[in-house]
Amino acid sequence: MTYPHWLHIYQKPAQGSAFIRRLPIANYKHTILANGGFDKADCQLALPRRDAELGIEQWVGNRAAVYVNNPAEPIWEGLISRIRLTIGSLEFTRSLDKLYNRATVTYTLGGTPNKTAATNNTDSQAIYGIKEGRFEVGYKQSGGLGFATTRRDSLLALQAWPQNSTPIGGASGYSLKVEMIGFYHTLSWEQTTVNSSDQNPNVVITDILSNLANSNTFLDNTNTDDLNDPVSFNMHTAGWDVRGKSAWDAIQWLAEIGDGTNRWVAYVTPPDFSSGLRHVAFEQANSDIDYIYYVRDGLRIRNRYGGILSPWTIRPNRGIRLNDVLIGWNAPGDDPREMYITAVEYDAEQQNVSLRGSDDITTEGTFQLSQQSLAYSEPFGQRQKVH
Amino acid sequence: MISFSLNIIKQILAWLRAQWQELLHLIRRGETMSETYQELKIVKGLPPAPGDTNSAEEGPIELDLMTSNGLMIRPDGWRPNGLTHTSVDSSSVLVDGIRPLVGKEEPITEMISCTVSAESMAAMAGRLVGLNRLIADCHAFWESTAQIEPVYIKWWAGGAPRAQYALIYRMNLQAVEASREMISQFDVTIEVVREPYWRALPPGANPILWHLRDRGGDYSLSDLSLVAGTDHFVYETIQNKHEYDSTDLPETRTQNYVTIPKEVIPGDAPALAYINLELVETATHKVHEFYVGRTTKTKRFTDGSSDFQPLTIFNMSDFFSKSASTGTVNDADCGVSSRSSTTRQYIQYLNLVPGTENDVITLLARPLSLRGTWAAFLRCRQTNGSAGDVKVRLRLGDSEITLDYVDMPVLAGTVSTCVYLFGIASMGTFTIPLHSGISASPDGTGLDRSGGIIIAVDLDNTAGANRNVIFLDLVLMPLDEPFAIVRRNTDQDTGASFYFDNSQYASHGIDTELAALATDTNVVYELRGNLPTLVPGVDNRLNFFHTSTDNTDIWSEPDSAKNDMNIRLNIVPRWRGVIDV
Repeated sequence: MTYPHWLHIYQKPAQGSAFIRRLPIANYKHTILANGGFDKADCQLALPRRDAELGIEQWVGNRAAVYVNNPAEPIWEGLISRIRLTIGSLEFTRSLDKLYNRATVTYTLGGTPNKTAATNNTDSQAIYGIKEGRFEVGYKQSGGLGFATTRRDSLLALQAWPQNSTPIGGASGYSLKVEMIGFYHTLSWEQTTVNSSDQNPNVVITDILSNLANSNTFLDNTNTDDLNDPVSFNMHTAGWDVRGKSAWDAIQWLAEIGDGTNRWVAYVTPPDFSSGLRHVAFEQANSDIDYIYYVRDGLRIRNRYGGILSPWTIRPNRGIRLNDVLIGWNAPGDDPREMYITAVEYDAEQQNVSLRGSDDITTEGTFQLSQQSLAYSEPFGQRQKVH
Repeated sequence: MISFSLNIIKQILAWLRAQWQELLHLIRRGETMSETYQELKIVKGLPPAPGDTNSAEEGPIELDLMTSNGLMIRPDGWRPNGLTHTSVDSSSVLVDGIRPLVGKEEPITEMISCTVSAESMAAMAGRLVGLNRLIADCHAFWESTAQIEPVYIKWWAGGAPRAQYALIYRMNLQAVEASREMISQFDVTIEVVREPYWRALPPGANPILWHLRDRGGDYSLSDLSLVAGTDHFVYETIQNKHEYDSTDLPETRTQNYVTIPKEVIPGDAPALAYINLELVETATHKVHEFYVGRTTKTKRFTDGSSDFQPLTIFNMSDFFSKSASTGTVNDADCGVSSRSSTTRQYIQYLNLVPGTENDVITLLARPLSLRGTWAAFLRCRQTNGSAGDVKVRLRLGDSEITLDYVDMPVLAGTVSTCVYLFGIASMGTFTIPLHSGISASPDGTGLDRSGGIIIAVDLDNTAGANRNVIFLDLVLMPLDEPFAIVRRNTDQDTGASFYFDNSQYASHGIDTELAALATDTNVVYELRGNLPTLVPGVDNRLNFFHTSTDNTDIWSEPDSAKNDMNIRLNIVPRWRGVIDV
């Protein structure tokens, strides 16, 4: 039996949840993180030009899920963040990356940080949800907000809708490429307003979620079933605060604190089968060895009893052990054959997965743009913790 | 004078030689044709249904490749190519050989050499114009909705019982050259890239035509409906449950599947299928989802006294052991009957105290009759309290596989002493045997291994108060064979009749899978997973169940005849080589 992969496209979450279309896909890849959950995915669609043009015009920002052999569980879900239409040497792209439909500007006035009031494009927010852009305009010697508010309004006027780009040259062939982001990315779209007056991290996360400007647009922000308590810790009394962080930065920051002994993770769950809703989980990491593999058979990932697993079912936040190398060896600390999986990268055409462990040898650079105004966004795919 | 005469004689001899060679060519061609090709055509479009005087089908345009005064295939002008299988394999320098992971059949390129002959150059050019139009139509197929007529090759092999067909993906006129200067003739080579398998019917043809194939065309428009009547490849009424006949084991009283014996599935490639699923009740019932999954594995297993067909629905009352649990059997004649009782039952846990309770129900399933990877669904219900109060999970074996807890479904409304509506909990997936390498019995009996595997149900009442829960059955759907769920955005219409199609009839020939309401093809349905094809050479079973909704809750209601389903199945058999039936 072959296992075709299908992309299911639904309405934009701010507008509804209705199913729109099912399409076969090629060159599919996805990434799933222990901290975050469904992270990124991309694929190519084989569509006649009429449908491809419809897609680039209408599908940016839509919810999407990828199904293989189990119709009860998508192997990945998220939002369509960018569509690239290649026609010969023309590549037309349209994305959410530079969309900001709520804008604020920060500046320093006489040594004191200040922020303008937010302005909103509610038409855009009603379609795409709220995505906040925060620009910093630098030092100001005396009062008056004109420059800052003008910068803020310019941002909103120019970038409240998906941005297009049409580079000519360099591309070839004909294809429609779809790039997607997981729902946890939407928690980076807004700054939290919670002041950490509550004691324990799980309660702080509950407050962060219940105060989301996007409310339940992208996830069930009232579901606290999987918000666990790592340690009784009065953050407010201890002087810690999550204000100034995006909602996701604050949650991830709390996960990194952990409980003093164990690894903790925060992620957005896959959608519930019955309700179709997803929620934030905050829990101690799963340290069980759920997967094993052997060098002798080409590193096929198996369950702990040797049963071969389909590569698209492999998930992070669990352990894997190499069973036919370093037999009888031991090392101070952890068993060197075992690894905690922090990330899974699946390639459908190659039918393999790449796993990332704690000792990640890949370099994740942070790029600091040399410009006056730093957008709160993801240049080069890297999250920027500048605000 | 002499030289002039010699030239004339040479020309006459050359002409005679050419004529003789052409005569031999025609003779050889005729013999070869009759042995190899009874019919060879490139065709665009489909014929109207018999008796349909206002059909939107324009009728097929055929280019015959065996016309003496037109396009004629040359001797040995075409040798049908076989399949090319490509795969992704696992390979290691530490082990001999490879381990195939996934593979597929590639499109097949055919080279067909023909001769074009006609009474004049203009007539020959006209023949090529017809061919070039088909090429253009082939390339435009479904590029837009303007050209949706499939272009396909029709081949009736010499001695074969009937013609066979393959959709053409791409077609090129590769070479055109003049030859035999003294007669009006061209040699051309047609490059055809076609689908991997040959079909018994033209691409996009009504699949019921396979069922009607031996009537010699003696049928009318009224015989061709795929969603009405009982004269189909398979027609059967099935239930939204499975019950054994307690007085005549292992016969069944009700069943949620149709079985297609291997004897009636011809071909050597997966047969395409058009399934019509019609609810028997047509007045008030609203369906939310349909589930359909194919199983082709193990035909039967034995418990020492009877042979049982492997199931995909396991009734809890068949496996419930009161001594191991605080639950009881509700035998108020609602639910489903068990192997030991004709009274309909379900399992209930009243006043379940907060905390976990393990092994509340234990199923002892035959491990090798259940071999495969499964998606598990539990028809159950929490009858008081709020969603999330009680969670449920499955454990297999000696807890080797412990699936995650999921919320027990809660339905609004009053619960009487007899419950008819059950929610659906998606329990997760598992593979049996637990170690996929262990598939045969060490006692030498092959796949029919003795012993069993435990599937246990655990409960966790996370509420601060007692709760009531009930269980009906465990439904398994295959993940290593096609399994699909069809769901409408909102609740379905009443009187629901649906079709699930990968025969490509509904799409008029293009390779896709569709699900739609039979009475309104404008309604959008979400089809998840893969629709079943039929595997030739083995018994195929198509397993069904469905859920209903009032737009507030989702439930499954097995204990009612209004949930019975009429299944109409028609197929398009396919071959890798020459059709044999």
